[in-house]
Amino acid sequence: MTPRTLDRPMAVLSRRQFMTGAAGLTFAFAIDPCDIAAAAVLGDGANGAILSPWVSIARNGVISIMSPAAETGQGSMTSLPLILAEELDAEWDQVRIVPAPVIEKIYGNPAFGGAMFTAGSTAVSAYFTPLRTFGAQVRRVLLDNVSRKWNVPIEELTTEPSTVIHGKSGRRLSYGEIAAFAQIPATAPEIKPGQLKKTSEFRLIGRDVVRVELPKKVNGTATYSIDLQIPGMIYGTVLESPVEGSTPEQFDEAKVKAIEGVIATVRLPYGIGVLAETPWAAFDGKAAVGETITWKRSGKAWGFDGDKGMEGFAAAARDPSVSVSSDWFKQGDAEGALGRAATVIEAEYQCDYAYHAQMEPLNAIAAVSPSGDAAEIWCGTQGLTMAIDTTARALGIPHEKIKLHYTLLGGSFGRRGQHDDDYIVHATLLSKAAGRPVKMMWTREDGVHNGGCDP
Amino acid sequence: MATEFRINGQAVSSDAPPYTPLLWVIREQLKLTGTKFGCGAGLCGACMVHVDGERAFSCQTQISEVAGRTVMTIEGLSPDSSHPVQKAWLTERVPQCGYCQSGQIMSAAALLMQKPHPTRDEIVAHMSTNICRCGTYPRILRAIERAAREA
Repeated sequence: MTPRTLDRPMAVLSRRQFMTGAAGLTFAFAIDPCDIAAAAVLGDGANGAILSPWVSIARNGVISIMSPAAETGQGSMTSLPLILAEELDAEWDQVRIVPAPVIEKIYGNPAFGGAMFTAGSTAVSAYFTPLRTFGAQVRRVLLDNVSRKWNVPIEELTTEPSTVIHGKSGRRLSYGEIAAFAQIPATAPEIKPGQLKKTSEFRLIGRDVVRVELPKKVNGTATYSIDLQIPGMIYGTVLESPVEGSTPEQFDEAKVKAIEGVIATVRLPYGIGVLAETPWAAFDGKAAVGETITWKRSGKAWGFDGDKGMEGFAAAARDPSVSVSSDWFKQGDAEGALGRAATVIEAEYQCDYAYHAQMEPLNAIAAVSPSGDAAEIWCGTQGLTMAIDTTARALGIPHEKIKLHYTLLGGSFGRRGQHDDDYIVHATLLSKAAGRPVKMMWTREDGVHNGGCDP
Repeated sequence: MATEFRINGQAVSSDAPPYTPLLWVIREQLKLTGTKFGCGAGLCGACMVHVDGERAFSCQTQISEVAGRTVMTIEGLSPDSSHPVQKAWLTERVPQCGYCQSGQIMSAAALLMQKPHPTRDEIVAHMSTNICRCGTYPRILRAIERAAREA
């Protein structure tokens, strides 16, 4: 994961034409095949041709494919590019996977209205047909180019992995060789569903392919956001209010600042932040805040009784006339069928709130510009779009001013796909207060204390 | 008042206060981030390292306790992922999110040093120090059995 390589594709994209694909995704096609600088970013080396923001093929044969999903061990980082590579007929060993920049109209998840959001086991099913189509379109462009170059009908051309073959003459051109002269059409060639590979023709899908990030997960080099260090950064912790809606009153600030390495405390709407030179000073500082702080008993949650709350919710769920009860999914006439049934068995199921308990305690690094008008965020998140929007909202600036560098996630289970993105906001507000990059880390206790439980 | 010790074959020194968890010195000062912070309480095993050849929770080991001693982290287990446990881990495709796996591997490597051919029950008992939230336990078991077989 090298987040900084994400910078260029975003800049390049403004010079591209767009075509809306049948699946509702926007598929951008390169209009300038000689854009060598752009190819050098997406491809592995100079002098390649960009075929779309999803794919680039370098002259050395390296095929870069964008991966639009968060990776938390479910395998999407590998499986999504693999789906495209299947229809492109790419040699898998030559594929390099690049985390896609956050550009929703190109890389958005069709299952979530085009937001870049990895959740609900939707990534493979929602991206499946669009990615196959994109791969087939790029393959078709390669075939068209070879057809023109050799002046042979396209029907006489076939592909083997990363190679176009003219059977009649025995001539072969590798994808890398084609990339050196390929002309790219202004609009993508049409690929009908019937033109996609038959299941029996799959070379990659259905095979046992090693996940690309797996080797790094057996030698400690897989990088999660908690592993990053940004030049000039300091450490931050936050003691959040014990219940939502509560605000901090008084605490012994001098005692906190007396800890060696503590730089400052930061009063936040929902708690107290501590900035420090080292993580241990930041944790000690937070503990010292906790020893003396008092909280304003604002917010509805003081005195809330979870057992009584559950009874209330259950009662509401039993009563269809109550607005909070709604059908999640409806098919056929269940009520009618039950009415006609000889035997009806009734049962009630309850599910308590549960702590997500992802192994990596929540954390984020934020670097807010000194004037507060722009920010960079480094974090693991399921909601790439949401992380940007939340940060922009916290700073009151446009989302275009936020750059997100997303990393592998050390587990998530939904906790890093929640709309408030509390841990990212913590880092953002601390960095704004500090005027420098802050690595904000929760302890395990913070994770439990700050809730966000899973129903 | 620097603490001097060896880590992965290198002599190092840390100026962190003596009570500082070894974990944070390893991760943030020495930048060996393969060792993970999971709970800070010796409950999950994500921070497992070896100290003088025995496994230890680095979050429960104060920096002062390793003065003059030898620490090994996942980065020191092999230069090229060739340790039998690492090879078995890849063959069995153990990791999912991967966050706990450095600790799992360090625990497993310590077990096989003490007992090259553990029984299944011994593996389960030994590995009970390490939590995997993704639930890769069956593969961890298979990988340790494989490493014992192939080492």
